[in-house]
Amino acid sequence: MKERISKTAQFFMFLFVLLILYLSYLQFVKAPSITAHATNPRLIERLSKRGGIYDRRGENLARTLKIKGEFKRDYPLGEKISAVVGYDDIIYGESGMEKALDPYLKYPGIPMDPLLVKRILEAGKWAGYDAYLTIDARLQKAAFDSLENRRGAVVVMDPTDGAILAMASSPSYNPEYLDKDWQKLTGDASSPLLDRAINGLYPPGSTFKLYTLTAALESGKEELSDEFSCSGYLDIGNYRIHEAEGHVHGKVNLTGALVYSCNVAFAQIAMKTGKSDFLKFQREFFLTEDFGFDLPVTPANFPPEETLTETGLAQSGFGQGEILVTPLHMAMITSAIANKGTLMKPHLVKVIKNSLGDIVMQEEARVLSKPVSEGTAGIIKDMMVQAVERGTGTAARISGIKVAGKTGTAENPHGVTHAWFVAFAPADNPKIVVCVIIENSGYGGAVAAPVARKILVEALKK
Amino acid sequence: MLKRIFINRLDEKRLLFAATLILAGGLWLAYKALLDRNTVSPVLPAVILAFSFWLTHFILCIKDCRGDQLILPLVFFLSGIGWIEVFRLEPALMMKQFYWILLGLAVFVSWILLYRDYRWIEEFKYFSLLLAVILQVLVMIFGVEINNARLWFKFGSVYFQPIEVVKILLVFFLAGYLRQYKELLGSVPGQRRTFLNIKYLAPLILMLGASLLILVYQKDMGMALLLFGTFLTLLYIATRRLDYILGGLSFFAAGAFLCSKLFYHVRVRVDMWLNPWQDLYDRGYQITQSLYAIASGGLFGTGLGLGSPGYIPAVHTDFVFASICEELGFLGGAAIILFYIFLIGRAFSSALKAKDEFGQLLGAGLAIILALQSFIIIAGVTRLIPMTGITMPFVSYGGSSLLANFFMCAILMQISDGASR
Repeated sequence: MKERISKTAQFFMFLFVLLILYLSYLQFVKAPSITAHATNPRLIERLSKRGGIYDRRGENLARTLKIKGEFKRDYPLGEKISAVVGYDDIIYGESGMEKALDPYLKYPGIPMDPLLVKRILEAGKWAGYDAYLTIDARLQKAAFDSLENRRGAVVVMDPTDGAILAMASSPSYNPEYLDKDWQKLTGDASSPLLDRAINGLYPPGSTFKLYTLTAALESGKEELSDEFSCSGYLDIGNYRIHEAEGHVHGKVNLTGALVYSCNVAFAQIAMKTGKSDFLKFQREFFLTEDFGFDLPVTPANFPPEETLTETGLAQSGFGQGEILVTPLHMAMITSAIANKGTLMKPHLVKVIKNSLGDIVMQEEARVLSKPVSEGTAGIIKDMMVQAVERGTGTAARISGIKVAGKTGTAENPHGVTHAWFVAFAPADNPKIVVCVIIENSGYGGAVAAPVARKILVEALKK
Repeated sequence: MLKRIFINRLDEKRLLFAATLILAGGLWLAYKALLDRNTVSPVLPAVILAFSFWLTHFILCIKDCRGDQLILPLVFFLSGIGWIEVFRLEPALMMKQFYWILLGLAVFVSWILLYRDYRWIEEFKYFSLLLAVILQVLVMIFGVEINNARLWFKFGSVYFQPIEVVKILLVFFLAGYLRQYKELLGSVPGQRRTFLNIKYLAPLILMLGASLLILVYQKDMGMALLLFGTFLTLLYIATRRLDYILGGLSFFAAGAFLCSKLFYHVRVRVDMWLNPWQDLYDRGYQITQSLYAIASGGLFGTGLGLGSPGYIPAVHTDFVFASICEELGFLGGAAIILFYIFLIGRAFSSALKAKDEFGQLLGAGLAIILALQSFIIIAGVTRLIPMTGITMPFVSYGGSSLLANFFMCAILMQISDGASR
């Protein structure tokens, strides 16, 4: 019997040797004719064009051109939109939406449907999917230009569906000259490669009073009729809080506190709200939570409840201290208040189509959370309208359109204050939310508000 | 005890060490290449896997096991490659495969610790047969259907393919039955050699006919081929009767021909083998995609994680070999085949060394299953023979197959252990 077992073993060894021989035949002799087959997706991948990126109206933001038989990625808006679109580079890889959408832009996507491959081949349209963003190219240009090469960022969104209409970061870079400029860009102290709109962490200053007010009113710790007296400073333990520019607001009610941006009042409001109710809203507004944005957003920085002191809480009430947020986060808080308290999920992709024009993916408007009640949102909105009409934000007034806004002047370790302004308009039927920050440039009302105004005018132009 | 850990099973130690290094390198390459796509890190499970194999080795050392020293490193290597492929092809299934390998290893160790001997299995040959039949009948009644074939039991979110156990049970039965009746089945003195001993052959043929019928009904062609091949080969080994094999083969050929006329799913397999390009976008899609992948590999392959094996549907189960050929090239593919040659060689040599006939037949049966199964799938994926859905031992994704293969190797270890005492 052993003899037959070893014969069997030999037989199988022979089979496997045969298999290795056949494999070498397949991979060396037959390989060229197999891989050259017209339906080999690897071949198609190599020959096909990367899909384009478009704005909401179909204006081109990134496309692949064939120049002298070679593919070249072209960015018609250049540096104005690189904060959103990013780059696709042979050496430096991908960033921005070029990276986020890479599986779609690259033909043909895995796994693929055999029948679709057939249709694409028959139509001769070898190209990746085209992505249409929620971005409005006209507004994007206006937003970027309004920064005038100062360091800063602008976020424009539609509060009713969460669509990001523009997202600008300055200084910026032109993805077409990446190779040439790389050394300069990475060495530049003003970090042009940083997308300030979603990755820049800043103290929010007084724009954060919208958050404080939400927490105070929603937790029932404050009422509209509450009054404060402001002597220009407030002592908490050994620490003295000062009013900006040495203002003394005297006796103010809650509305006055926001309209004139009284730090003394908001320090007291935060303390009265208490740590846990105050900190709770970071999750309600998705400031420290991942909400699945198309691009990676740096989470906001909040002090942990255990270590937050009374002084720290008071400072947080007017957006100083340990709290750091990105411009997108401020746009989200503003957007929730504008949209009757409902926060819509911010998103950048509108629709993705294949080379035949079939819709592959479509992003629907989704509710992210409901951090503010409708009543509270209405109260805060009225205050913001007054802040623009007679308070700190008068530079954002537009004749014929009611604007709601809030200024911020954030002290920071890098010198002159950051100028912030968040706004939405028309106040009673908001279509546009704008968030502007210009680094180390002075007062929010003087520097950022006019920029926001310019963008609002452009956005509301018929 | 400590001394045993250091001085016992030195070959196994060295080979495990080599395999650990190679697998660590492979995982590192795949991890680097896929950094953007995978969010879950494979490092911790990989360390646990390597540690478990080493632990198994130390247990074998302490227990003074004298079983074959190549089997464990080969199993480590193959299942490690398989796990890296799952991580590379379907990251979401990585943890599941990880748990299955650990479970398989647990079965391997506990079987060896529990039973020093395998000979008692012979007593249970009819029980094995009965159990096999019951499992097959149960899966026909209670099984769930996937891809038009009713082959799985479902427990919660876990699927189990009883045929993987059935194939081993049938080898238990065949080894026992053939050991007992091989003289009667083979040439009997005083009678003519061509005489077919129907009385003793009948139960065998009936048993096999029934299981094959079930398989045809269940549309599992690969398994049918595997079981029939194992049966015929074992019969030849036990009885020396080549005419059984020839008769069986002609019977099988006729049956296959008939099936290809009668059953649509069989005809498709044959048609797509003869000319897959005639129906490129439908029934020929999988095999042509497999051929594209293999052909684009060349000598060295594209590198782990750098090819596009994702174009092949179900690549991580039946077509994992095509992915290996694309990304590791001819060298990688041939290496995998060589590893199977080693493993199967060690299985046959364990059978050869066994002192009792039951052990010889049992070892040979398990060796044949390993050999046939790896041959059928590799030859199918490369279009040397028609493609039949069957797993690649230790490498394909799939729990029941892994458990069964670990179990088979445990018995092979016992046989070789018994032989060297």
